[in-house]
Amino acid sequence: MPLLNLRLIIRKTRQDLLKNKLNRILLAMILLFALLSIGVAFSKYSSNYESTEKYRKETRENWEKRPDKHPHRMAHYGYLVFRNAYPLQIFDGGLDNYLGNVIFLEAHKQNTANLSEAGSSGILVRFGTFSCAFILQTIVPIIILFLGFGLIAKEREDATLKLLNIQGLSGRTIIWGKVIGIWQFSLLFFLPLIPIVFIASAFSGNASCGDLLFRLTALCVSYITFYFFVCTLTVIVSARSKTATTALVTLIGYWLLMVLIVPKAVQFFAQNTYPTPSRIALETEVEEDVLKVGNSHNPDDPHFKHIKDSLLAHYNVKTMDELPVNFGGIVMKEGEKITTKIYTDHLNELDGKYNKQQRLNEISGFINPVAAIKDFSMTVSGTDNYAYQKFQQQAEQYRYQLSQHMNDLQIEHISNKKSSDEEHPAVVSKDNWKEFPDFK
Amino acid sequence: MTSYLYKQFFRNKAYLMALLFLFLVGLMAIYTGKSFLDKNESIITKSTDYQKESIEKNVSLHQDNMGLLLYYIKFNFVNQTPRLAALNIGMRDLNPSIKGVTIRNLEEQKHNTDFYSPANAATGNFDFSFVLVFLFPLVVIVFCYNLISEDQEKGTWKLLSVQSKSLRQLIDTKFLVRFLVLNVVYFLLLAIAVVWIKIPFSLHFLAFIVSGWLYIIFWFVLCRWIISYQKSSAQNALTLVLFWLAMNFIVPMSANLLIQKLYPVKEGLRAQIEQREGYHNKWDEAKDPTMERFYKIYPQFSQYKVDENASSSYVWYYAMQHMADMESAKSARDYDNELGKRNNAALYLGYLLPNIHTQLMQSQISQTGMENHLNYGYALKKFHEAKRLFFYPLIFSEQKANAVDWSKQTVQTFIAHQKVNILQLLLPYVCVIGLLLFLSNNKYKQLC
Repeated sequence: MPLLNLRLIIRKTRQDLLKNKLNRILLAMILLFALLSIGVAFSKYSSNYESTEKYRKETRENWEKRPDKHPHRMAHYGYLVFRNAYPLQIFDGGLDNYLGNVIFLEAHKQNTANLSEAGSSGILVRFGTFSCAFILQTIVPIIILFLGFGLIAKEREDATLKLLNIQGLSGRTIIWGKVIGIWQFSLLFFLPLIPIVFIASAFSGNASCGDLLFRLTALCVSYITFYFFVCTLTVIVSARSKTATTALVTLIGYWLLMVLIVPKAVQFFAQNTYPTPSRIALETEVEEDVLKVGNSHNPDDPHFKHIKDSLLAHYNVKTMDELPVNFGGIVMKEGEKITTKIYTDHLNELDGKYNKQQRLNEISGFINPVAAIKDFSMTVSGTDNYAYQKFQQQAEQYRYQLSQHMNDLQIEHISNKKSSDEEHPAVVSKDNWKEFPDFK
Repeated sequence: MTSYLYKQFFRNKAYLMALLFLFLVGLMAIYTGKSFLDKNESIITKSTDYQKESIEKNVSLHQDNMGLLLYYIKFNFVNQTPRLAALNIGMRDLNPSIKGVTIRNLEEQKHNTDFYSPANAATGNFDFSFVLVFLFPLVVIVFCYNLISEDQEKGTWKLLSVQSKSLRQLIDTKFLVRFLVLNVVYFLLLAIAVVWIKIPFSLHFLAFIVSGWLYIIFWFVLCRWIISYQKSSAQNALTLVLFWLAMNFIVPMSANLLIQKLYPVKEGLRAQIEQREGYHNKWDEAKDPTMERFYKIYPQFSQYKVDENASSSYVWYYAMQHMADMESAKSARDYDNELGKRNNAALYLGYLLPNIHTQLMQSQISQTGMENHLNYGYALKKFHEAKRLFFYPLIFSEQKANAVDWSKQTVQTFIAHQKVNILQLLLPYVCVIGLLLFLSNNKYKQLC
């Protein structure tokens, strides 16, 4: 009997919401907005993808068609790597606006990823950019509150709550019935979008369908759970408030807390608890640390003098000109190894601080469902900071390989004697460039 | 009667809580601005020492080779941060306020950013302008949404209409009470900011204060219009929150998406490829054509000839470097133009929406917006050229390092002279406030 009653209330709540003309208009508008944002994001993604692919190809072609050169010239010619987001960016832009899109890779030097979308925009970008995920995380919850604030409070005001009680419905049944009823309705805002997101991101052709399906399933589960939270909150507040108006005002207050106040406050504390150094300070520290180990540009530096002496001893020769390997190349290889190690250590430390700040944010997800869904959705869509750090690390690895490969070529093929004569120019064949693999 | 209305106001605990909340977040915002300014200043102060040390170190290492020396030395160029920037950090957290450049090609160096956490950047700064644009309106809504409907719902409305001479006057006095109380918080926060951050009084600061003040008035007038329809409290709250939501989230966010789509900035990446090719290709080409182009740009250096067969030459080297800037110049200019277009689109949108207008104008006044970013970029280009033209003849004539008075090579600062266009600043507010007053007055006539 109670179960039947529960079903009745669920049905009634759901149908009432569905039958209301205003609610239907609201539903249609939200879905339309979401579709539009998916559409615009899709076309933006495809054109970005196209142009970065074009530039990537151009970079590779330019690299391969370099003529015979001294390898160190090539190490300075370097490489440009471009970032392409995961196609679910169409659904959730995440941090994408704030991530650099191109890194210039060259010997001796780690450059930052530059030219982010936000860096190329005016102040308006600070209001955020529209995305399907934003609608689902921010707008739909407030609509649920608007639809649900009166669910119990209104019945109490109209004295219909007493009628229900008299008919033998327990308070618990009423509350659960209302929660599940509005929850089922709220899923209509979200579920119809999933197949469209799937088709759009599969069309962009940059990910396997299996992977997409897996990620979308995870998204489904998380949003369904999230809406359950929001619906429960709405009905409980509605039940505890004397009037519908107080219920509405309280719920708007909760929404503001979850969407605006708590995330900002967490960020405020994270930044003040884990302060981060500026680039100029970090680079100076790196420079000081490098000088402590050895200066590859100073011929009398003890660290590099030791290498020189041991090389001469190993090949049993007296002068540098007699060495069968290129000494300059060996010095640079060692220098690159030292600077990269020191720089990476410092950078990891910095990333560690960012991650600690991020951790606070994640912890706030335990009390703030909006923060939790935001983080999760971003991670699944591949637009969070971890995905970005991975891209940066891959780029740095590639840079290191490239520099050291060029140094190896120099060690093997370039003579120690300064030769500018026509017969033995200090270059290696351009075939070497083709042999070096492309990024990723 | 007015004193009774004040008493009535202060008896409401929810109002006092809202005021206290606003005051506290205001303090947090000022603190954020202060620590931003402090961090920024310490970077700039340190950079003076760094530059001096770096010059000393490099000069001692490359005493006899001016060309190689200038390959290494970085010259710092500061984008002056006004104290006012503490109240509106704008884009200054993303765009560094100091850049160090060598006299090699500029295009490769000028986009280098500072480190920042994308997660923090995406959440946005908790600065005073944020509190003003997002949170002040919410308190205005809390104060005003039920000014008429509360009495109607409690049943005291009829009593009031019988007893008071003019209902309209009564309602307006209630508005005035709330407006004055909120003014106290607004000006108190600004006073604290003045003392704490040491913001000097200037026309800019005045314009900043006035724009924020007009923005608060806008919200009161909007509330006055909405509640004049005499709907229920719940409906008023809903409508006002929807207005707030649409203005602060939906419209600017969709506009952003459209602007990014309509004005793509691919030229930025294009310029990166062009500068790289522009320079590196020259190594494999004959020296003459490069030099001819260089002499054409700078005829004053045509006396420094380069032998086609020379194995290396710094005249040639720096000419090649300069070609990178020349060949990417068009794309770089196009990129800047696109940035300008993006910003203008936002400005036009701001004429319609006071919140966007406030944010944009305050960042313009505080020199933290796109205008300042672009002007600093142009100034950096000039700074870079001045450095090149100073050092080129010394390098080309193979001077020793001691030919330069290095103590004069200090960090330089770009001081923007941002003009405040009073009409552009005030007119959008005046228009929208006037319109809303007109609309609500019509309604109030029916009220009494």
